Amino acid sequence: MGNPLEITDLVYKKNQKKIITDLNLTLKPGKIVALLGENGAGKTTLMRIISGVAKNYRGTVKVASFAKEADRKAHLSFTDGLTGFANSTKINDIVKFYQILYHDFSLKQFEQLRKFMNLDSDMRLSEMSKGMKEKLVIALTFSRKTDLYLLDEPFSGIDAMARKKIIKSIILWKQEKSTILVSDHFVNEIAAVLDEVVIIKNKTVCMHKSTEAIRADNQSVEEFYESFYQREEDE
Amino acid sequence: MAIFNRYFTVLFRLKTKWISILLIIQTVASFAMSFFNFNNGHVYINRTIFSNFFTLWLTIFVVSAWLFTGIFYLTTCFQNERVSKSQTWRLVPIDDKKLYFDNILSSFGALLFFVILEIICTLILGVVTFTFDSQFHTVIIEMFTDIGRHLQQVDLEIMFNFFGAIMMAILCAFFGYFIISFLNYSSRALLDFLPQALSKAYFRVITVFVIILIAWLAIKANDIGLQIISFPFRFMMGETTGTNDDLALALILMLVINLFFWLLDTILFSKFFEAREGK
Repeated sequence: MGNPLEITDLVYKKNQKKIITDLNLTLKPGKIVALLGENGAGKTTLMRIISGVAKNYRGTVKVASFAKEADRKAHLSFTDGLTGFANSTKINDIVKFYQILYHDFSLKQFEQLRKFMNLDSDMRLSEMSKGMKEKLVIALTFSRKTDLYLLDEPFSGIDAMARKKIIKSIILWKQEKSTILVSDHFVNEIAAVLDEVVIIKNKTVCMHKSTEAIRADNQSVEEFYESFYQREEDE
Repeated sequence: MAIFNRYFTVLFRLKTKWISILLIIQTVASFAMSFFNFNNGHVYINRTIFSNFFTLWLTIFVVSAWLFTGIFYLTTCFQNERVSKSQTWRLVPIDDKKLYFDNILSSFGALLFFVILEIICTLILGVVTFTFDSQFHTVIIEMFTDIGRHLQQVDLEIMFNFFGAIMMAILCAFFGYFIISFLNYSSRALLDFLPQALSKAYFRVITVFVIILIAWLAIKANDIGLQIISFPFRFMMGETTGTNDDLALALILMLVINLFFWLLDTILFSKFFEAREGK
C-alpha cells in the first residue's frame, strides 16, 4: 500500500468560481491530521473530491495509490450525514445497508461502538437528536476497516463530555496503518490526538506541519492556528 | 459484478417498499367504490347481488390498476433521482456508470414486480368472481373457447405484433426514466457551471429559450432527423400505417433513442452530476 492520500495539482471550480487552486497534499500512513480553515475555505469540498462525490475537477487524487473513484471509495470511510435514508429508518436497517454494500464493514466493531455511544439499535432517525445522529455517523464510519477516514466536522452537535470521550477513543478505533483526516472547529479538544495540521487558506494548502514541530516552537496547536491567521491579517 | 448485484438488491428493496401499501389502497379503494356504486348504496343481500358485486369490484380493480401502475412508475422515477443526488448512495464503492444502470434497472425491476403482483391480484379476484357470478362464468368460458379457436390461427405476424407491443411498452418505460434523468442532470450541470449570482436568472432564460426552440422545431421542422426521432411516437399515436414494418422500425428507433439517452445520462452522471452535500 502506498500513501493513504496523495493529491497533485488539484483545481476545482463551481459556478465559474475557483474553490480550490493548485492544491497538493500527501498524508503518510498511521497519522491523525487536522484539516483547518475558515468557514467556506473548501474543507468539505476537498473531502468530497477525495471521496469521489464532487465532480469536474482537474488534477490527480489517489487514495492508497488508487486514482479511480470507485477504488478510492472502497479505501476510504467518509462521515456521511445519512441523508439518503428516510427519517423512519431504524439504526438496524442502516447497519444492514452498510453490511451489504461495504465488504469491510465489521458488525462486531459497530456493536462495540454503538454501546460506547449509548445508541439503541431499534431507534429511528426521526427519534434521534443531532448529537445522537453524529454519534451514529462516527460509529458507522469507524466500523469500516479502511486506509483513510475522512471526518467532516464530526463533533459539532455532540455534548462536551461525550465529545472528549469520543476524541480520546478515536485512536483505539482506527487501525494502526490507517490515517484520519479530520476537519473541526474544536481545535483545542482534538489537539491532543493530532500528529499533523493542514491549514487551507486562499483556496489551497498553505501550511502542513507536524504537531511535534509546532510544540517544539513552544506553541499549542490552537495558538499556532490563531497566530497563523493573526500573522496573515497583520501582513 | 458482486457489488452490482448487491447494489441492485438494496435498490430493489428500497423501491418495492411501498408496493404492499399501494396494493392494499387499490384493493380497499376499489372495494369501497364498488360498494357505494352498487344499488345506490342500498344493498339487499341475495345471491345475484352478491355475485354482481364481485364483478363490479373486479372491473374497478382492473381499471384502477392502470392508474396505480402509473403512480408506481412515477414514484420509481422520483426515487431514481433521489438516489442519484444522495451522497449516502453515491459513496458506495461502485463505478458511477454501473451505479446509474443499477438505479434504472432496479426501478424497472420494481415496476415489473408491481405489474406481476397486479396480475396475480386480478387473477385471484377473477377466480372469486368466476366462482360466484354465473354470468361472468359463462362469459369467461366462451372467451377461452374463442381464444382456443383463434390460437390455431396464430401466425408469426400476430406473435410479432404481440411481443412487439410488449417490447414497445418496456422501451417506453425506460425512455421515461432516461428523459427525466437527462432533464435533471443537464439542468443541474448547467446550474453548477453558470455563475452563482446569475445562474438562476440564466437558467430561466435558457429554459424559456429551449422550450421556444422545441416548439418551433416541432411545428416547423420537416427534416428527416425529426421525422426519424418522432416516428415511434407517431406510431403509438396511430399516425402511421400501422403495419408490421412500421412496428419494427418504431422498435428499432425507440431502442436507438434509448441507447442515445442512456449514453448521454451516463456521461452527465459520472462526469458532471454531483451528489448533494449530506450533513
